[in-house]
Amino acid sequence: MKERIYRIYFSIINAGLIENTALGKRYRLISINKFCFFCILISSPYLFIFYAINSIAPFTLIFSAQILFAMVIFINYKQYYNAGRFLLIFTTALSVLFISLMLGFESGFHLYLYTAPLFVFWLFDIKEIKNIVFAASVYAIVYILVFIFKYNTTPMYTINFNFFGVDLYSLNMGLNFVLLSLLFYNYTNYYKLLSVNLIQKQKHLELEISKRIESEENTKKIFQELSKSYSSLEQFSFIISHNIKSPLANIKGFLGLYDKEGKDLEFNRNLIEHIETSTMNLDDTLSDLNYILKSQKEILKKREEIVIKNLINTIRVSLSAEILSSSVELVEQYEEGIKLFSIRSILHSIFFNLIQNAIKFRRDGIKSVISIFVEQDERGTIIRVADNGIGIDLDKYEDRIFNLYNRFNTTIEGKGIGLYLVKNHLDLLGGTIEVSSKINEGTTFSMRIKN
Amino acid sequence: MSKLSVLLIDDDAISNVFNSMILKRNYPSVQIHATCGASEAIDYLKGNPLDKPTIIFLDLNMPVMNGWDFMEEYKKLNLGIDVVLVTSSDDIGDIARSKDFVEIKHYLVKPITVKDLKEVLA
Repeated sequence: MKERIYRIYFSIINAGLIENTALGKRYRLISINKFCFFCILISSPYLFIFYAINSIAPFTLIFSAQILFAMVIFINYKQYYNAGRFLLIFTTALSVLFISLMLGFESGFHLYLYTAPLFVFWLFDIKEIKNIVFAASVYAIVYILVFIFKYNTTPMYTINFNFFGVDLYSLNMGLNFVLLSLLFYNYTNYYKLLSVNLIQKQKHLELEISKRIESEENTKKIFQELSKSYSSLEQFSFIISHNIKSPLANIKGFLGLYDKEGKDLEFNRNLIEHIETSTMNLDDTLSDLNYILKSQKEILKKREEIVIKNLINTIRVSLSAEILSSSVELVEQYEEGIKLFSIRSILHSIFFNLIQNAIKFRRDGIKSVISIFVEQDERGTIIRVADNGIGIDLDKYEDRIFNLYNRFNTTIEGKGIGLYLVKNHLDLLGGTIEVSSKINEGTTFSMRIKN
Repeated sequence: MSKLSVLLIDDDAISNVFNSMILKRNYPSVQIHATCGASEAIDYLKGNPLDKPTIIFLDLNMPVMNGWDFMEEYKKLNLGIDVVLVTSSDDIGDIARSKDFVEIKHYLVKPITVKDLKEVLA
């Protein structure tokens, strides 16, 4: 029962509210509905009193005012927010006019009634200037009329405010004051609660949204990484299978040609030689595969402090024959003591392969210079290995440059594994690599390794 | 049959050897020109307009210029010589892509057999 009354009360109070009503409008709508509802409630006892003492005129007046208030709620409920507000303005203005006429202009009740224009500021936002001007002019007209009547007429009706010995006038004032303060208190509380609630909700929503964005980004990242590693795995298996398949196909083919009757000994000997070569090719592929798979496991090794200078020196030693015979100059552009906390074998492989490539693909007729640049910032290490060699046609080969067994120059010996390994190692370390190159000018590999 | 002349394109020298062997075994009068790269083959085709091969055996997976790159270049030459893909890949994507080129008449998976040759050179 109690719950049902509450529900009816709230459905009246919230008439016209929809889900996304703006805060200011929400606040006003609820206030208007509450005001109208309480006006009806407050005036109801008087309705009975006037009916009981058989005073038809005030009874009709109060009853019509009640109907008007009820209409305001109904209009709000029908979503005509502005119409509701203006009806309230008209109702209060008319009430002022009629009560003034009825009670006589000398009554102290006027003071109370003259507060009605305050409604204008309560019902409209300061920005709704047009509405305020209109509402204020309604009151202005009413008060002009009141003053005209005041000097030209006598009161239509005077009420005996003594009801069974009680001063109804004071009672009315007191009761109205209590109810209005209750209304105000209730309504400031409600507003406070509403705003606190809203702020909490907003914060919660913001948190939720940022969480979602974050998780979405994470998922995207993971997905990208997965699809990247999947495609590189796919490519790897495709290439390996191709490189196993083709020597196997050759062996199979040669064996099919074998002269079983042994008439053509020379031919058979030839075949065996070719089968041998194909078997060696197969063996090579398998050892490449083994090497690559083994290098993947290097990531499990312990990280240690690696002084770049020492690392480059070891590479200088192991490549000394090539460096000497091709008279390449290795320029080291970094601070003496620059260190990296990483996996030695992987870092060694990256530098080794890049320097070896730079020596291999040098340009004849000029002094070959390979510069190694290392720099550290708070985000990680930047490494650049640049040469002035023959360069790579990136327009053609950019998307294949780090692929396994891809070679872009057939005149120089190679297997097409070096850059594949470099890229692979950087992936393992969580680094990135970019290449820029110009034919007959040189190539620069820029890498970034996170701390 | 008129004089059979085959152009072999395969980066794997052993594959070329095998293909020549099986061709010579079954068609003793065959003329064979083996190249170990697509660009070399393009140069050869550009340089010998008179002694045209009657058929081209093409590998797909090659360094620098792969089989598809070769086909793009070859199309421009407009020689009208049939191409047979001879590859170790039986990838569906490759087979589908080969259908895009009208010049490609057959798709053979290595190693080629006598039966394959009879079908292709019929």
